[in-house]
Amino acid sequence: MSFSPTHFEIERRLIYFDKRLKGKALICLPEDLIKRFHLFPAEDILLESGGTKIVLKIGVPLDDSDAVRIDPVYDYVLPTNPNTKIQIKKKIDQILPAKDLRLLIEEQVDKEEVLDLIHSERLFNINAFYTLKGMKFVLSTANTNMEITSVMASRDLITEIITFESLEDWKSKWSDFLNKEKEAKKLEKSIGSLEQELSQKENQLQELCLELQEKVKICEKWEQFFAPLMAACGLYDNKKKNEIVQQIKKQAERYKRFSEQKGEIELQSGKMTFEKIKENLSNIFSLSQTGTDIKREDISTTLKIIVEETEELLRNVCNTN
Amino acid sequence: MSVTPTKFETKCNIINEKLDELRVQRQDLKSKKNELDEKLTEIKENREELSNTFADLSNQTEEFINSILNFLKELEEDSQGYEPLNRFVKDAKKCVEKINLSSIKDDQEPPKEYIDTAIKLFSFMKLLEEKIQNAETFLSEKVRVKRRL
Repeated sequence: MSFSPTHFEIERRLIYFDKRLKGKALICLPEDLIKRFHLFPAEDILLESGGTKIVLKIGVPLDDSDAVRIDPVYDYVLPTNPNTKIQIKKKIDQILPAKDLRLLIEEQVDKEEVLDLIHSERLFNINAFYTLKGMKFVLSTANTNMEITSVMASRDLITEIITFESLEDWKSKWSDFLNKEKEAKKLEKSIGSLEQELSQKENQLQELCLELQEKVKICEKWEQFFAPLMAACGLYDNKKKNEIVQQIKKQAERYKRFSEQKGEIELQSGKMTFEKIKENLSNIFSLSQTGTDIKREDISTTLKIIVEETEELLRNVCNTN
Repeated sequence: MSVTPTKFETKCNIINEKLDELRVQRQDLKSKKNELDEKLTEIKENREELSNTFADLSNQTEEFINSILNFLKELEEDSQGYEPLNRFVKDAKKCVEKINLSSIKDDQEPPKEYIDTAIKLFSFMKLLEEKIQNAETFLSEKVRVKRRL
């Protein structure tokens, strides 16, 4: 048996309502299966979700009064003529909140295998078979053939067998599971954005580090400029500067004064030489007075020297001034 | 009545473990993010500090250079009677005048001649001290000679 996607899409929305269970059980079975095995009376095919009940009449045109006649609990009666399936789907989509349907029938199952099994084992008392989030569930009643469901479980055709007694508990677990799955998705999303943010920040950090490294390199170069300057600055502060200027002024002044005084010093030095010569001369004269034999040439030479030295001295003094 | 060890519960356990792992992972990522934020803040602060330090240094240096130029001008004037020092000061002044810090930025390396000038200036300051010392010694010596005479 094969189904086209469109066909399956419609068929998998057919949910069987077992009257015997008074609305407690829901089953999803393809219409072909229902027809083929005459599993259920046509008028019992019901869609239920969020408290809305819809009866589908397969191949039998019905009006609203029929629904009331069949069961007053039905809210809608829709004819399910194969030619009008698309319209039915549209109507169902309008009536049933999509999320409720998604909750009930989420994933495709290997229908061939399930159908074969149902056929071969005549699993007429399986009350619900549906898949959710990749898991396959059989909702069982007290009279469900547990042996067969166990076979199904062992063949991995089902993930879980849920009895009606444990339905409420299961619903809460399922809801918890869904919430956790939602939270996991949220966490994954949050982790994804965190990772993205981290990656951006890491890039930013890397760029900043590179920029800083570059700046440090440049600053090291500037340090080569600043270091001697600062060292020079250390040799020179305002106080020191004033001291230096004062010192230089003082020294320049002293140097100037020294230059001016140089002539005087030399003059004094000359005077001293002159005095010395005079002293020598007087010594010579004293000697002559004491009768020592003094030659005229000696006196003449001495006088000549005195004149020359005096002239030299005067010249020096004039030049200096 | 549940007849098989529930695979659903296994799946629940898996999701619980996954949730725990994800929570830990998210916590780790958050911690890492905080660390990165701290590092980023620190680096940004460092960068700002570096820029500020550079700006301060530039300003100080500019002030120092202006001040040393004025000093050299004074020195040039005052050392007019002392020719060797005067010449030396004139050279140093020329050298310092080459530095123009108004256009410098911390993302550009300093021109090589700035570094050379800074080194020269430092040498100048050292030499200046020596020269002043020498001049002092020289003058003291002369004064001593004068006194002796």
